[in-house]
Amino acid sequence: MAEKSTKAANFLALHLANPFLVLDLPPDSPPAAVERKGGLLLSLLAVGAGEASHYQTPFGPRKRTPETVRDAMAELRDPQRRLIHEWWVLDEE
Amino acid sequence: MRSKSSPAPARRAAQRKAEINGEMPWRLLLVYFSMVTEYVIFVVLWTIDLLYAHLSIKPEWLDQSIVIAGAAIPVFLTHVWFCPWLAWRICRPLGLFFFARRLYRFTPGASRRDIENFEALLRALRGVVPAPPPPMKKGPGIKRLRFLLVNKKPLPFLVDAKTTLMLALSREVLGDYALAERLLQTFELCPPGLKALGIFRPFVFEELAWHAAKRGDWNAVLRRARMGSGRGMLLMRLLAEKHLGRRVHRAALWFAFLISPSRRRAVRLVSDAEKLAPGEFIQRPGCREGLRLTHMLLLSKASEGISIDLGEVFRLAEAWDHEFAVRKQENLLRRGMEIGARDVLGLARRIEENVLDELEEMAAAAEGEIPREVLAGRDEDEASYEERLFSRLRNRLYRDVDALLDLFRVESGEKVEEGNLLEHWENWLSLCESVSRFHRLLGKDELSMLWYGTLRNAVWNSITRIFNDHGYRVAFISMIMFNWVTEMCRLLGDEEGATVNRNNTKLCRDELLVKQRVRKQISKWAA
Repeated sequence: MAEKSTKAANFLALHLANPFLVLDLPPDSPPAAVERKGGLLLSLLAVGAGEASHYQTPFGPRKRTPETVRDAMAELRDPQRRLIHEWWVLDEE
Repeated sequence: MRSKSSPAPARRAAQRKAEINGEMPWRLLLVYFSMVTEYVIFVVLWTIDLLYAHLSIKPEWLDQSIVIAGAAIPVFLTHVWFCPWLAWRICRPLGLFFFARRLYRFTPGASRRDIENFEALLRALRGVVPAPPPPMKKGPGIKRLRFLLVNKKPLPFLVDAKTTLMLALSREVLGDYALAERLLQTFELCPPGLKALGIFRPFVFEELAWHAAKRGDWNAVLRRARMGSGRGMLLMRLLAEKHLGRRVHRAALWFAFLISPSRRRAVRLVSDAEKLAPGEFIQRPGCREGLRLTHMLLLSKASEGISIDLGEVFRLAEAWDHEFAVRKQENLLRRGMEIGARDVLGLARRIEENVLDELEEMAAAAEGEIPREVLAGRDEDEASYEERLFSRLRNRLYRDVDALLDLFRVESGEKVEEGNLLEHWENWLSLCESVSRFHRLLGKDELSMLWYGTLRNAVWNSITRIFNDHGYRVAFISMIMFNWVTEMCRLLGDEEGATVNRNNTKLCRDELLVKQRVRKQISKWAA
């Protein structure tokens, strides 16, 4: 049995916290759509709506919190960071 | 004094209840069933044997002697086996560790060392790592107690096969599976006849196999079941073979289940195995489509300690190489300009480096060989993505061995303390594994450079120092370490080193055998 790699776990956690996955948006969404979806999710989380508390990833659902939503919105506001995240959720040809 | 309402007793009771899974009547019934079936099988077989002897033997004196012997042998066997059996098979599953400890003391012929080892085994089951006894208190009161044989002098701490086995069990319980597996490899390195595990062999290997089965690591179950012995091991071996897709006869599986101990916890595993069609594997769910998803799947496996094939990682690196080809990067540049990102080329290089970092992590956790085409096509001027990965892996292997070797580079005259012996042993096993991986991946030439450069003298001196400092107490591990150095010298054509270390191995083995023989003689005399 191989040893558990903490670094690999951290890398994977970063991939699964991709802002496009957190906000449940396609990679070509315009900035306005990002803000709108982020605001909607924050409102839903504030009223405790059950469906907003989790988001889908290739490895099953993950917990969504107001902090993760705010972080995701902030990441997508920076064009360079956004480009990296877009690249990771690109559709395979 | 603790009040009745204090939470500790309640918590302990809840813990005990959780330990026995809240099904005391069922468990007691099964234990009772187990005792009765085993006793009935034994009595029936023995009676048939005696009847046969009675009917077939003609001289009356011989017949009577056989009947007397036949009546005495079961009593003797029951007396010898009953206490350990009762302690391990009955008290331990019920969580009655206090009674288990006390019962084991009544085992005829059990030395003080055996009793202490059994107590350490019960502690290891709860995740307590074996350790040397605390330093003795001094004073007239203690002397008086020792004179009255109430307070005995603690026995010296031995780092032998049993301690290694208990250490592996405690590591397994604590969730350090890789280290547990590494410790168990000791028994594959040890020459036969020198392990002297006795009653620990069926007990501990069975427990280790159960732990591996619980987390679904059937390869580990099979390895452990092969190392152990007994009825439980037969069932575990068949279960592992069934889960690994080999053909196992249904009747054999159920027969092994019926004669095995701890049937209650086995029943679910057997029924799960029954549902598997021959040749069917239980596979972890995962996504297998697309480059990015494959990348994440391998990362997930590396993070969970699930074995990955190194060839798979290099194939992934090749696929990334295609992905990073100029045509694909054009899309990134175009998109960068659209959203107003600066320095897109720098960004592309950063992505490449990040992917390489992640691939390196996967390769470090992977097992198997590097594909031949990667080794054959190494070109220093224009390195492909796989070659860059190979170069990183190579540096990492050197770094790993160096980091472990630092732990063995003690200044001359510095002694490894008794309390650090097990840690030293674990470090040595890690070093051994790293060197073997280094050899497997980089070949004999690079190993030779490493061996003569730093490894040989550091390892050799460290083993000699530890054996000189602690003597027979570390004879078992010293023997395995010297044996390993002998094998390495032989592999690399160092005849002088091989001869000296072969003699050192023999010295340790003799020391171990002398101690074992003396111990046996003492227990015989005491009995």
